[in-house]
Amino acid sequence: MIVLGIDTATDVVSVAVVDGDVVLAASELRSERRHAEDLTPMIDFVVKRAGLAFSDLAAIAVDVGPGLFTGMRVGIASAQALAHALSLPLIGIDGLAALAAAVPTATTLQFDIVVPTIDARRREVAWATHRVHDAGATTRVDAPQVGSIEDLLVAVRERGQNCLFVGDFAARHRDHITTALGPQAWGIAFGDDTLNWPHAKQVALLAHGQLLRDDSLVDEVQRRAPSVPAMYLREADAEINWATRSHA
Amino acid sequence: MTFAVTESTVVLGIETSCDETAVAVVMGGTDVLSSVVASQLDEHARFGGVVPEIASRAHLEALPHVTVQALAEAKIDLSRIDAVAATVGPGLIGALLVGVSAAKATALALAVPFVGVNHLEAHLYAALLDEPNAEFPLLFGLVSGGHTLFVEMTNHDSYRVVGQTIDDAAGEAFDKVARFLGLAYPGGLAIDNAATRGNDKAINFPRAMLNDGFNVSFSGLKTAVINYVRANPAVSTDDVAASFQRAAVDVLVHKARRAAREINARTIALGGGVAANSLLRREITTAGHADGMAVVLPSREMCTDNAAMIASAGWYCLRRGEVSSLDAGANPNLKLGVAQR
Repeated sequence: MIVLGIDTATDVVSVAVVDGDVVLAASELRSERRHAEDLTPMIDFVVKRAGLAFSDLAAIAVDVGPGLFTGMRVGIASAQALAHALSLPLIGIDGLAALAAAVPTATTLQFDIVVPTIDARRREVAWATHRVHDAGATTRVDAPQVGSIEDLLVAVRERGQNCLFVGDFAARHRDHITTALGPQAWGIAFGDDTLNWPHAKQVALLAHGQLLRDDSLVDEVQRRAPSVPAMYLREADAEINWATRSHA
Repeated sequence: MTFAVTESTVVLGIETSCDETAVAVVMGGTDVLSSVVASQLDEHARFGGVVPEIASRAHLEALPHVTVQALAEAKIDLSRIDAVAATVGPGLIGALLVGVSAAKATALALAVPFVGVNHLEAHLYAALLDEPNAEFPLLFGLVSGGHTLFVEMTNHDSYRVVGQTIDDAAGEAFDKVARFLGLAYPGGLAIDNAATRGNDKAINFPRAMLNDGFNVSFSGLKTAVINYVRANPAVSTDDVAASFQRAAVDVLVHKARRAAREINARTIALGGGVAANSLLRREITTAGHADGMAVVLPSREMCTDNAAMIASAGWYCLRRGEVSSLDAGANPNLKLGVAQR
């Protein structure tokens, strides 16, 4: 089953096609806010370089956030349109889960939890805790949330488990996090630079796994316009101001 | 890419530049098979204006459903689509990118051309939907909440801006005055309705005629209305609305008429939300005909933002060989008459 994955939720735009758990082709580009310009040609390129036609695809998968609002919308709008035009199932993937899934099992096995972090702007971070299983796979244990770096540190401290941070936010605030958590009975570590951003490879692979587990996703496709909600984790500013004023 | 454009060429149009999510199917440039507009009016009303982030979110959510509805109403399948057109500017960047991304992906999946459309140019094609054989030279007056432009057109792809507002757009003045008077949002229709009950000679508001050239100004008129009502709080709202509308329309018609004479126009065409105003429609028609010019007005539903005009403009672009690249983006400040491809 061939799945096309799309990721435009961060500064890095990526596209991949996977067949089962094999990555057939992938491309990535650090996009300076040119997500819409870069994405469509990249989809064209990756599908063609994999030697495929659009009719070979079985599903479309897309990172629905958290991340850059405009960026994620470019990916979701494109994925929705592709799924509609090709009559394919559309699967939205949590970008934090895609980030956690990118960690090699040889690495995850050395930790109890993996905490992917994505810069949420305004000095805030989006994160979710993922537990490491015996085989090295990870499962999300709490819903993605957005908060200050202090909120993140409290959450990790409360767990008190060996923790691997991945993602651009943790990488950028590595010193702050290390100092703030101080010496503990449990250890912390940071992923390398290849784990700073979610990638379409994991988006497609995770979607493939979901399709194997739940074939109703395939049946549902003809019945409605394909759409997936974006995971903003934050109301639009005007809504926030409105709520503040209304309750003042 | 060579691409034969005919009377049976079917273009899917997508418009997401502001607060309307619209999709339409148009055949041969003028045959509107469907035109679906999902307005976000309610979502922005409590803020008194369009909130960009809310607009972008609403577009993303609505677009798949609006697309399905437009195809269903046109009674055609996506496989019948020959090209996809989308507004690439001007407008809100985040909102534009939703439509552009969806349009490019659709074109890629269907292996058909994508064409980026200038929203301002498309408003003209709204007028030409019913009058595709309008004669040039043509004076195009674009009067909306975001723009007030008088444009000389000597042919389909030839635009020269001859006049514009130096401050508020015409529609902006209607909206602001309506808001000040406590009328409903958006203000254009509310003023139009209130004016029918009022006396348009009750108050003599200033007409900023700016005798040098064809530019217009609405800021002074708006301020005059506000000052008058503050000084005369007991005044009838209907009279204020009627007198304001009369002053604004006098300015627009006077300027459009002078510009049309200047360029020896055969046709005057209007587009944009203010072109739905009933007094403006009456007065510009009378003035144009008195000068021996044809007057072309879009139907009221085609005055405001819609995707039929995008698909139509896209068809004309394609007919003159303009196809956009898949690496096209959006340009929030796109101007009229500037090549965007």
